[in-house]
Amino acid sequence: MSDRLPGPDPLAMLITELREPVAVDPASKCRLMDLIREAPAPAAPPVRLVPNRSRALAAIRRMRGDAPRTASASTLATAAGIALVMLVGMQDRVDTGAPRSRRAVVIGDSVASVASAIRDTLRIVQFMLTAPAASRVALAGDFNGWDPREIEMARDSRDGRWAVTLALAPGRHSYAYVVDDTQWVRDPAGMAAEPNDLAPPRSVITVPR
Amino acid sequence: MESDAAVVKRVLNGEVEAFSILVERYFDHYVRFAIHLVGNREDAEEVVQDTFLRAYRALGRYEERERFGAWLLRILVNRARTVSAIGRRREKMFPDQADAVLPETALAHPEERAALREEMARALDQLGRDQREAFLLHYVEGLSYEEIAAVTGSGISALKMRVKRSCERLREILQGVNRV
Repeated sequence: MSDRLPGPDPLAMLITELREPVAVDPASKCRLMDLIREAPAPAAPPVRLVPNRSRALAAIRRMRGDAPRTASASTLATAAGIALVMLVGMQDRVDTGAPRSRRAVVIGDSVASVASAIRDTLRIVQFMLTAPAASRVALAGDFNGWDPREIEMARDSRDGRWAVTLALAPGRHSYAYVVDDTQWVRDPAGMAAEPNDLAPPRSVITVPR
Repeated sequence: MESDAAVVKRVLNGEVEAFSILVERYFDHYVRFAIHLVGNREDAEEVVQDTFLRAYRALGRYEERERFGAWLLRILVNRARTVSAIGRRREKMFPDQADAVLPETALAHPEERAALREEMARALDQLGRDQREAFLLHYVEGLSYEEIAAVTGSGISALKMRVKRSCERLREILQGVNRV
């Protein structure tokens, strides 16, 4: 928040005028509530496709045969992502505090059994963002219901690069980075998604088959 | 006071009427913002109404971690951009005297105030859409640059530049008016 006023009086006067409250006809709000009552109920929160780390580790154990194989497709997808973390080439060091990134890259693939019947090929994708000034960076996307807390990225203290590796199904995925829990940024090196007034700035990656 | 997130939960649990709490909290304030953004009251009220309807339908996608007001503002800014893109007229940037809640001191010289408002409206109208948006969000709505970035999808350095340039431009226009 900022309370600073920028300079001489005319501008300060303009800002003061702009901050004046306006009176709104209460009937407008009644009409709006009438429309809300007639509208379909809001959709339930999206299903999380990527579970948390403990569930993922449990899924890995199940994949190894330590437990009955009853994991869901989404659980196995994450398990594969965590199990098959692969290193890719190091990025050049940067000194600026501004988030930058290499494009998210597909670096391998894995095959996971799904419900003992369907086999689905998953691609291993590494997401990277260079943000030396950030204290926390997470990845959110349509693959995890846009949860800004679930997929935390790990920081490389040498160059301020944050990375996480996921197993994703082939197809088009939208994603964004969440810096310090508040700032949603699209992948500076990725392809920008079509603007959507209900979604934060985001990028798109197409995972090949 | 019940938090916005708690109200959202009630609505998602089927208490549709609880949504009116959010309408009461934000409607008037955002009508004011929309008037300045799109330039006339009729479009502004339409944009705000549309914003609330869209927010209601998408309420399941609202994340508690984000301020509800900021989430709503993001929808509003995008709706306003759509209206601006249609190219409707900008008029009555400031509400009519009868509609505005004016301090008593201002009422002593209503004609002067009306003229002043007219000039100010003209000045604001001369800013480009992006500059006006950034200026209003920062100085009128009091959002930080990080919050504006989340609302508009623009980078922080670009936003700082827009606000700086809008201040310079407005100062130039308003000082020119004062000299006449």
